Amino acid sequence: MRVDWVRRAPPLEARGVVAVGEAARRLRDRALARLPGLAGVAGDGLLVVLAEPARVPWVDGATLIGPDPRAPRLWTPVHVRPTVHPALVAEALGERTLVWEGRRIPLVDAAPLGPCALGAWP
Amino acid sequence: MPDDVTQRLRAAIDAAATGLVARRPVVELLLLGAVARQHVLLLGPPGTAKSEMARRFAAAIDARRFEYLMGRFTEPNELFGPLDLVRLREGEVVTRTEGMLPEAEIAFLDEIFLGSTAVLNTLLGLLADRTFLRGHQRMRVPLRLCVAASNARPDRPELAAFADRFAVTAHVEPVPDARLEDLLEAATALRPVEPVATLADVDTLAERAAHVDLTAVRAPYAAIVRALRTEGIGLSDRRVVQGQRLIAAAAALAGRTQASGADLWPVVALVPGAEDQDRAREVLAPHLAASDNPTLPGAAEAHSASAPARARRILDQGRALLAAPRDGTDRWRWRLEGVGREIDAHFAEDDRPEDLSDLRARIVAALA
Repeated sequence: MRVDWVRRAPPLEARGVVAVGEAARRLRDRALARLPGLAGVAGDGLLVVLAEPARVPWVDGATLIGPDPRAPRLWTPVHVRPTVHPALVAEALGERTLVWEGRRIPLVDAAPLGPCALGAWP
Repeated sequence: MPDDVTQRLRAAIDAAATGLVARRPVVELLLLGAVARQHVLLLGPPGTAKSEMARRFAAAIDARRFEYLMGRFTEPNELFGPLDLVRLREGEVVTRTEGMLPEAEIAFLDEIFLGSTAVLNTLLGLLADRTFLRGHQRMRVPLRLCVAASNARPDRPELAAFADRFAVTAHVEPVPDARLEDLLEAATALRPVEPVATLADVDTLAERAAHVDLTAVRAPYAAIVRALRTEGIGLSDRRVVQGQRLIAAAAALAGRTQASGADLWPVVALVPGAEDQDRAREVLAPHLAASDNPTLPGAAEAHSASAPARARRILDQGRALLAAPRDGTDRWRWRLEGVGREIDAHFAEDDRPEDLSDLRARIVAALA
């Protein structure tokens, strides 16, 4: 199934943020200052932080993300949507997944972030 | 550029809203009502600063205020004044109105729907015709704005007609969870309001509003009313006409002599119920996409969710934060991050107005 991505209006409600590289390190620092109440996943140079909308940390260079209301297992940047029905994309992906810049980042293992784990990353 | 009168009225809103959390759009509606000569009904649970907003707004424009908590047994003389016994002995029924509602320029009436028939009948004339009638006594009253408050709209039909006299309805909810710390901080810093504008300023804008050219918005406004009726949200003919005055007032407060699509947002405030207002906002989104008002940015955004109104509100908020003394606390960073997050959440990078991009760059620099 070919999926293209186009501008979404109005944008999704931001319930998380993703960043790589230096932006991810800044995001980690801000997330540490915002604990508790955050969940997330981390990978090689990549950090995803999930939170209630008013608690989502913000740094320059990070991308705000949110669940598609028509297929909540599919997470995307807030200003983007697939050209096919999001439920089809979510079905194809299976578990709760963030699709961002060509990457598929599983969110199913997102866990509450704590100072130890977050402080030790990357 | 806004003229001196509009600048002072903006300063009055700033002064009245300072120290209150998440209440600025409602204070802006009070000014809109005062300029449009339309009364405002605040609906919400107790303890949500309804009376405080009215009090602070009246103080900011140096208006003579009357305030009363009504009950089922409230007598007319508690609002309008006692009978003049000397004149009564001479056979004349005259009310002594000194310091009472008939002499107020801004009135706040809490639990208004608890009032008795006797009270509400006299109040009706005062609200509708700015005339106090009691017995043979008839006097014009200086009332510019009546702010009424209640926990909920009345369900008794006989009160519905009375409620319809309040063109603007604002639903006031408790401060959201995310802003509780702001509420606690603001509560310790709340200061009395000094006058920064005058009632004459309000009157000047009211006069301008009376001469705003509405030609360009009549058809779009009628289309909006039809769209609402299609959704099952009916507005009485009285409300539809009142709406025109609100639109004219919005235009005047924005410095416009001709109303435009940017001024149609008050129609959402005409809709009485909270759920109906939410539906109206959604249904009318395409009609209200150009909403914008430099004097009432919060109210314009709250009633339209338009991009220009949101951008203006975020700009005002961000600039005020950057201009405020940096207390070095995390709360200040948190607030600034919140503005940055709002910018990114609502405006994609290539859709962002230039001044919003400039603000974002300043925020990034401030947080570095």
